[in-house]
Amino acid sequence: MSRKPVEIVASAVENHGSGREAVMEMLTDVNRELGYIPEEAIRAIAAAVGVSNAEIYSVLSFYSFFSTEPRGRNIVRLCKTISCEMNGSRDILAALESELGIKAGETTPDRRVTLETTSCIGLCDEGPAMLVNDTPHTRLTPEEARRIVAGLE
Amino acid sequence: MPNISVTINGVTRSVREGVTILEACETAGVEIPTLCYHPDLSLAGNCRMCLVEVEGWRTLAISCVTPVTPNMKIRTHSKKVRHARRTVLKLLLAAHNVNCPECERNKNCELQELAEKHNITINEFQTSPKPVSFEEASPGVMRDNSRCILCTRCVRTCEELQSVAVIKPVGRSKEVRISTFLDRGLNEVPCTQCGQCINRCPTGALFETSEIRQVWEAIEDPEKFVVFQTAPAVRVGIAEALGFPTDRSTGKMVAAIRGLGVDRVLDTDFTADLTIIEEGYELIDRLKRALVDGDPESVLPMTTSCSPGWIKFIEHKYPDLLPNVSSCKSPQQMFGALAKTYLAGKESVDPSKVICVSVMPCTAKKFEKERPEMRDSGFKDVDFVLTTRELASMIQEAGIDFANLRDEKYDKWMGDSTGAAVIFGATGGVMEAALRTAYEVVTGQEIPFNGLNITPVRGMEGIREASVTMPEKMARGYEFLAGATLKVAVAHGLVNADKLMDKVRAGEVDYHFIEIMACPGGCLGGGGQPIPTSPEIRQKRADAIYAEDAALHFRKSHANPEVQLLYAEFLHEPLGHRSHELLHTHYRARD
Repeated sequence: MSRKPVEIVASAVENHGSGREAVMEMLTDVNRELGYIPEEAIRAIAAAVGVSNAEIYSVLSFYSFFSTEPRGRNIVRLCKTISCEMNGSRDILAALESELGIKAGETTPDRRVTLETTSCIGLCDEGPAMLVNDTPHTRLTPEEARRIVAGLE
Repeated sequence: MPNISVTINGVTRSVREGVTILEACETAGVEIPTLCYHPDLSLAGNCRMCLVEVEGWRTLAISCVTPVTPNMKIRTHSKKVRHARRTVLKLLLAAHNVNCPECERNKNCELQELAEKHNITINEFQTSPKPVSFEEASPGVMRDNSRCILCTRCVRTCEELQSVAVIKPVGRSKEVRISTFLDRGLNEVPCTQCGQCINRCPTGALFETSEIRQVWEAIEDPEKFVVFQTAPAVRVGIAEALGFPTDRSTGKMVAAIRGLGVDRVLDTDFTADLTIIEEGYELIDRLKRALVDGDPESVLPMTTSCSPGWIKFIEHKYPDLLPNVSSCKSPQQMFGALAKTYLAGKESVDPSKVICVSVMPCTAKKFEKERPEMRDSGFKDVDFVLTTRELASMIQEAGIDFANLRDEKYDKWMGDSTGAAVIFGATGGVMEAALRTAYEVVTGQEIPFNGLNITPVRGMEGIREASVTMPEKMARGYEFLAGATLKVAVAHGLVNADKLMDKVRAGEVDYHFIEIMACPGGCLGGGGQPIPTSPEIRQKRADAIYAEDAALHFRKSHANPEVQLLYAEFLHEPLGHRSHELLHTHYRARD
C-alpha cells in the first residue's frame, strides 16, 4: 500500500530538512514514490518550506521529469531539442503517437504508457534519441520506435 | 562610500563607488532605456534593454546590475549598443501581441514607447500577432499573457512588496509563462487583487477588470438613479491619469463626473468620517472590555479594515487573527449600504433604482463589492467600481476639457468631507483621523499636536509606531483611560503588514491599534491609480493629500455636519442597532 503524499513529504522533511535547498529532494522523493507530484504534496512542501504554493509549482514546472498528473507504468521521453529534431525526431513522435493512439503529454487509457517530450538528454550525437523509463534508445527509426513501445508491458 | 572617476560617453565624471552603471548614468543625465528595472523592486537584469559598452569588455554590460569600477569607460549609444538594443527590442516585440489599439495600455506602454524612441518600423522577427492567451473571471485583476515580455516585475512586486507570491515564472525555455499555482485563475489562488502588479507592468499584460461599459449603460438608463462616490486618493490621482502634473483637483473631478451625466456626485470621504466614528467607538469599547471588564473576547490590538487587499490577505494568511480586525465595513461599502437606504429616503427614490458607482484608487474594491455579505441594504450595496484610470478614460471619451473645468461642489446628504477623511488616502491617515476623534471623545479636548498634524504617524517608512498618553482628567465615562498610554502602529505594503502580524501573533508587541494599508504609500499608491508609480510619484500624491487636509474647514471626522445629521436622523448612535445592521461586517478564513 503506497503512502499518502503528505506522509512522503513528512519523511522527506525528516531526511532533508525544510530549507529551500531541500525542495528538489522532496519533489524527487514524491515523484519517485508516486510517479507524479499531486497537489497535496505541493501544498505540503510549500507549507514545510514556508513559501507559496506557486513557488513550488514554479520549481517543479521547470523539470520535464516532474509531473503533476498521474502517469503510466512506463514513461517514454522523446528528445525534442534541436539536434534530435534535425535528425528526424518529428517523424519518431508521429510514429509513437500513432502506435500508442495518444498525443505527447498523454497516457494510454490502460495506463501502460505515458508519452512525453523532453529537453536535451545528452545524446545529441546519436539522435533521434528517447528514454524509456531509465533506458536510452538512440538512432531511432520510426519502425524501431514503434517496436520498442509495442513491447512495453 | 568614496567617489570614483568614470567616463560616460567621453565625459569624465565623479560618481559614488558601488552605484550601478545605470545609476551613474542617471546622475549624469544620460538616459538608458530599461524594462525589467523598477525603482521599487530588486534587480533582475533579464530584459537586456539597458546594455551599454564598457571599454575592454568582450561583451556588452547589463547596466542595471553592473557596478561601476574606477576609470570605467562607458558608451551608452555606440553603434554596437544601438544595434544590440534594437535587436533586443525587436525580439521582445516579436514575442509580443502588438495589437496596440486594442490594449488597455495603448499610449501608456513602456514597450511601445521604446519601440517609438528607437524607431522600430520594420521587425524582421515579427510573428503574426498571437491571440489573447489568457482571460479569466477575476473580479479585479486580469491577465493577458500574449502581451507579457517576462520581465518579472509583477512577480517581484507580488513577493517583495506584498509578500503574496501567487504569480511565478512557470515552465522552461520558450514555454515559460508568468502563472499561478497549477495555472489556476487569479480568483482561485490567494491573490489579494491589490493590483500592484498592474501598476508595475511595463506593458498591458495586467490590467483591471473593466466596468466602464456597465457604468455608461446605467448612466444612459433614464430609470436609474446613478450615484457616484469618489475615494479620497482619486482627487490626487485623476489629474495625473489625464496627463497633467500631480495635483489635487477635487472640484474639477466633481465637475467632470457631473458632466458624464450622473444623478448625484457624492463623496466616499463622508463615509470615511463615518468609519472613524464607528471604528473609534469600537476601539474605545474594546479597550474598556479588555482593560476594565477583563473580557477575554475583546481582542487587542484592533486593526483597521478599510483596505480590501489587506482583508483578503489576512483571511488567507492569518485567519487566526481575524478577531483583531475591526468589524467596520470599508468606507466604500458603508457608502453603498447608506446610498440605498438613507440617501434613497432623503431623495425620495426607489432604492431598487439606485445604482451606486464607486471611483476608487483600487482594484481590490472590485472584489470587495462582490462579497456576498455586502448586501445589507437589501440590494447589492455597491454596483460598480471604477479605478481612477477608468474614470480618466470615461472623461476623455466624453470629450470633457478637464483642465478648463470650473470647480464644483459635491451634492448634499453624503457629500461633506473633512480633512480627516481626505488623509485616508495616505498611509497613516486613518490612524491620524482616528486619533483626532478618539482622543477628543475620551478626554473632551483636542489632541495636543500642533495644528492637529500628528506627524509621528505620517511618512513613508514601512512600519511606524507612535504612542499617545492620556491626561489625568478624562471625559465622563472614560476615567478608566486616565493616564494610560495608547500604543499604535502603521504599516503599508503587505510585506510590512506580514512582518507586523507575525509579531502580533507571537505576542511580541503590545499595540492597541494598528492601521494597515495593502498598497505602498496607502491608497494613493493603489492598484487603480495612474501608471507609472515610484517613491517620488507617491510622495507627490501624499503632499497633495496633506495640502487638501490643511485647506479644509473641518479637519475632524466628528465635525462633519452631514455625518452629525446622519446620526441625528437615521443611525441615532455609534455602534447602535442600525449601524450594526448596515455598517459592520464579518470575515472568514480562506484557503
